Amino acid sequence: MKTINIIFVTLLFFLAVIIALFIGDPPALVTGQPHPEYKTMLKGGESIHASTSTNALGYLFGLCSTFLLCLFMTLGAHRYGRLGTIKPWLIFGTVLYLGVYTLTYLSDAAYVDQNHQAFFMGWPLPTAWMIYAMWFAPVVFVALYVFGFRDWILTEEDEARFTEILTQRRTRRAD
Amino acid sequence: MEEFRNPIILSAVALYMILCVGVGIWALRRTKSSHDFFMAGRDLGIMVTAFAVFSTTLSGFGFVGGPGLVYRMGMSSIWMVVIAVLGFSVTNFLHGKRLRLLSELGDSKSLPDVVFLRYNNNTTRVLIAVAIILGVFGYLATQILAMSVVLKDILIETEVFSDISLETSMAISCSILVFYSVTGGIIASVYTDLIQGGVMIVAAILIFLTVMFTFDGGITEMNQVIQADDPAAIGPWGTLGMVGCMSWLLMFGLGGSGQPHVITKLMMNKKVSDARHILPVSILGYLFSGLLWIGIGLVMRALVVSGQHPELASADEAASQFLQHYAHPVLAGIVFAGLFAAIMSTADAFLNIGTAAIMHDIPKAMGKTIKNDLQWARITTVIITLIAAVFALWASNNGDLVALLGAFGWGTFAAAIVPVVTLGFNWRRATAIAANVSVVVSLLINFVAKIGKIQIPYGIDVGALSMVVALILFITISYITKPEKLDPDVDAVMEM
Repeated sequence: MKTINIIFVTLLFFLAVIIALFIGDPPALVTGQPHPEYKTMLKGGESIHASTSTNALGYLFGLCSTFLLCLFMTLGAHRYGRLGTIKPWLIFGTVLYLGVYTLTYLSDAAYVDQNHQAFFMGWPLPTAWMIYAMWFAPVVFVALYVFGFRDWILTEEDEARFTEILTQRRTRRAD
Repeated sequence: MEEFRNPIILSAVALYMILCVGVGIWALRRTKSSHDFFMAGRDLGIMVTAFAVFSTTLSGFGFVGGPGLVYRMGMSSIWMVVIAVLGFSVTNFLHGKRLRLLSELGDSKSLPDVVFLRYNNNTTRVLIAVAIILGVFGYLATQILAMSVVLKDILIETEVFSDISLETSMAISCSILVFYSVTGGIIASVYTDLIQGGVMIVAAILIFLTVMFTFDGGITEMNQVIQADDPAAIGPWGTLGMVGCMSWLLMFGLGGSGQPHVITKLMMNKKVSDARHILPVSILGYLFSGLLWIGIGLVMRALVVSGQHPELASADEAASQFLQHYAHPVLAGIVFAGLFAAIMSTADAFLNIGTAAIMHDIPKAMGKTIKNDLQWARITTVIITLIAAVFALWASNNGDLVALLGAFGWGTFAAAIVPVVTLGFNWRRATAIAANVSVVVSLLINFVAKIGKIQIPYGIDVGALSMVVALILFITISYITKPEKLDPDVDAVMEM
């Protein structure tokens, strides 16, 4: 299946998830509530994990968001309609990122269930997943771009071909 | 040292403004044509481009709005920082090569120029120019207002300027902004971005170190204090909740690739292969600067809930209160100078793309060629600044229209530009009709939602929602309309 078609199907599925979220009843004050003591602050409301349906839909919403980002990046990596040998690395990076997102989500569910106990390197465990893992997992993509630029993004032959196209275009315009 | 706090801050800001004037004069010598004025002669090096990309993305929001959001909502807005590594990667994979090559192929001076080259349709060019103008006026007015308010707050502490009005401080700020924008165009902007980026990184690291030692138990104690008051605030989704946060992730991750003031910088680098070095430098710069955003917001929330600091009058005061009470005066001076740098360089970037849209893109779409285009670009820059300043002044006394448009800016750009540019430049089957429909629909959704103050359930960002709808429409209409024949050179570049 072409990447653009996967993007299209994911977008449609994403829209269906959003509509399903709109139709169902959201947990109480799910987007926060005024802080009882400090008027310039907000306080958390009921977690999305409170209801089975919103729990699953919330997870799918996040999954679609993260997957779309990876899919668009994959679209940008196409050369001559193909992905070539960068494909397994992009799949690896995408699976890793979606995996880290899933672990952050699961860790948050446990955090809510277990009365917010566990800390790791200064942060509550799910926040530590967000800070240390979600922030840095996409380094795989950066490495692909930086170190694979000449193999996968723009080869020296392509650059030479572009210079040739540009020269011919300018000559045609001058004529 | 404490008794000199205000003179130190004032000196740092004054020094930065003098530096701006100096950069303007230096850039004037390098600006010989409208191509230099809008595209910096497509001659920027790696560091200048990379710093321009990250500091334009961050703007004054990273110094004021960001810490304010963390103070107010806990960890929610940290997703705008956490997405940086993936977001900058998405932008580079999609634009680092094709947008740069197409802009050189068409010798383009603006984003709508490249859009025209891709779609060969003047309506598409005009619609993108209109979307840019709509976003620019809102953003620019908010930047001018923010700059004037901060300058007034600093000057009012001095004996000489103790009764300075907002209008006077706006006149001072705009004069300097106009001087260096008019003289140096985008060259002045990107070189002040370089200085701004450097200041931001140094300030952010020093601020984060200060934050770490504000509580005896360091970050752990600070987070435990916040958790004791409200566990959700220090959880990964903050008070906004998971769905709202993930909509921000999409908005800032994918929507970042639709910000014209950011992606036009990727059309200005000297060599296309520099993109591979620009990416990691931009990410590192943004990551370090993000420490300021996170650190100040969290520490102010912890200080207030633990009773060590009185409640703030408004969340946006988080940064200024921290700097006035907990940071060394010299560090406070550096950060205030950085704040001005951030606001001014972002304002200049908006002036630049707004001027290009009005003076270059719309006349060109109508088949008009403007003679003395460099001179007219400078005149247009002054006019836009004056209109935006009057608009900002009027709005500051008459409700929240500027704030409304400012918030509307990022979403407008993302929803209108991501389908047409981000997707359309990487998918040859995309058609001009699809582009036109998606821009109009995205603008309508954003305007109706903002003007009608419609709240989307679960805190889903309206820009993210309109971007998803616009993308679906764009792909659907492209598939059902007749494929368009591309210029052979454009086709060849898009294949690469």
